[in-house]
Amino acid sequence: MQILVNMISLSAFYVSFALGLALIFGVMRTINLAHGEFYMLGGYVLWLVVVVLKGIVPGPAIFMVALVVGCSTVGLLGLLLQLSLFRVLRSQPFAILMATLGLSYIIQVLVMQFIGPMGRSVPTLFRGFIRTETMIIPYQRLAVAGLVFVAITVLWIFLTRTKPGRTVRAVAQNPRGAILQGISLARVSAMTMLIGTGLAAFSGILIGSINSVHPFMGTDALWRAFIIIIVGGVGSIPGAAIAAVLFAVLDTSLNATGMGHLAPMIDALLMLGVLSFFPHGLMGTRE
Amino acid sequence: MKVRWQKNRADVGDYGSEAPTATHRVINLRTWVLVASILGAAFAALFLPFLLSTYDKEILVLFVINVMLVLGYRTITTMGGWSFAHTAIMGLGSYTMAILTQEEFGVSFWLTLPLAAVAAGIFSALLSYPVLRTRGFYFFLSTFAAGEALRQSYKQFTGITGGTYGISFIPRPESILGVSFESTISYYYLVLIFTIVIAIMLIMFNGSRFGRTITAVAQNEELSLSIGINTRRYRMIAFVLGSAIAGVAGVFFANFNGIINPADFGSSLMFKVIAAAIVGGVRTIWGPILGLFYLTMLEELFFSYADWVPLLWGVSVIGILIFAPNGLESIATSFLTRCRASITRLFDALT
Repeated sequence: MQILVNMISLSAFYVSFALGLALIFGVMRTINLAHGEFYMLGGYVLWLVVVVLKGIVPGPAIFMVALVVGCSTVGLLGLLLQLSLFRVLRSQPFAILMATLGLSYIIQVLVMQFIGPMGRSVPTLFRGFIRTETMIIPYQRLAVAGLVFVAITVLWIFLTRTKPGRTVRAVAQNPRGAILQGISLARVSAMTMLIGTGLAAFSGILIGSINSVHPFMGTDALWRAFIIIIVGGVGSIPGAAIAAVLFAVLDTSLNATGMGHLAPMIDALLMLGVLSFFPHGLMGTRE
Repeated sequence: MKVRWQKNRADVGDYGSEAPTATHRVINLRTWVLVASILGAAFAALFLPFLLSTYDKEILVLFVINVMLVLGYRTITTMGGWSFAHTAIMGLGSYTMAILTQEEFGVSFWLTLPLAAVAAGIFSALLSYPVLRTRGFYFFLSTFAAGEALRQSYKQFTGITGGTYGISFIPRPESILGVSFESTISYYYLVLIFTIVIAIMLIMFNGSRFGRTITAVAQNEELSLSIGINTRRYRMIAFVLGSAIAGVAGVFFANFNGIINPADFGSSLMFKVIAAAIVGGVRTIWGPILGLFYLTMLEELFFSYADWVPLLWGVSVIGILIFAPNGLESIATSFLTRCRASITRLFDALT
């Protein structure tokens, strides 16, 4: 049973991280390589909020404040990125990819210089746990998994049931068709970057509350996210979600059987295997 | 940066743009620049080490090894793909040499050179089966993940690779014809000769029918396919050739340092290689070398602020992408064109 809890909590993390990347690719047709750094910034916002508010308000309240502050500030950074770099280079999607690669190093250096290269740990904000005969579920993990579930549901409702959400999907499906329907590409791009980078910060805050935060956490998480979105099909949101759960289950099982150190190789081999037969991923559309 | 690859169907209107092809005039200029820079570079390369301090000499040797590495990288980009597994594959060459020259195997350094190239070549040929099914972003992401997994195996298979501690006490090459490679200067000439031979081979390869076919495939894969070119094969050969060169560079890199560990082949070196290709431009073989020179100069100028160097590189990459999408090489070329034009005008005025 414990393994099931671990699977769910790892799935929650993979889904929230990969979803933002997939959403941005779907609309912008480019990969934001600084996604990992936005995620890292989210983690640092949590650390900062904890430092400021510790002892003043209870843990869960600190966590909520960090979520609001982190997602909005990092989301605004993403918006700024869209309005500057992405807009200047909009006719060259591949140049954007390379520029965000440069940007990720800029952010990493700045964090290392101003906060320090060492990892920072965040105290447990949700104290206590549920204990049954077969498993231990800390409230912390329960809160994280619950929040991801809520976030995915909200995103799903937004994308399928609201007008702005539908414009996002329209642009992802066919940008020219969307423009002909009077949808503003600039507005949809800005909205997507805001939500996508906000999601990156969201997962950074969630993982920061469980593990420690350090300047290289983004790079570590990013390549796993690449495997997930490639297997799921780049740009496909349901594909990313399904592949995230798949890899969470796989990695947790590998850890449980004592083969955790082989997980990166096995994951990569699985990705290469999938690519050999489905070059566009499991749920990706043919170019 | 105008990167050549097949147009994405989802790209509409001004989203996809093709790089203009070189005109006859530019080709003429290129030969002119080529001869001048070869002579200048050869002269500088021969006498430079005698003017430098011990530390600078070592930087110079590493620079030449990195030139070899980016030349291999540029070969891969000619087929339209930007790999992120290049330095991890280079590690394959390093580990081949480091393991085989240990006491229990006792293989000669000189024998490990071709073996390293073959190891990197075979691995990349196997890797190319899945990753070359992908293009553009997919290719970048899948090589990123595959390269990172390869690097993780250096860490995990501790029995072979020494894990995170890596391998140390790698012996220098055995002397041949009485020439020993213990000193930095002799090592410099050794890597210089190899780099020049590789560069000449690549220039000939690029100009050959084979090399031009690879460029054609990169510019328009569908068209190439429709006139009966086996595009898959050409892309694979560019990938394998570039990787094999990385394997050779890896041998020298590990051997010169005398010690390797998995962190050597991580994303920071990969970023340096990609940044060199972008800052310099990949239209010609000189572009990445120019880019690497620029990055190395930055690194050494800000030696006392080493932590800030990746930031400077990042700013340079973004600046080049915005203001000179074809890299420093294109700025240098247009500058030379203008110089040449004014010299011609001067001559016209005089005669």
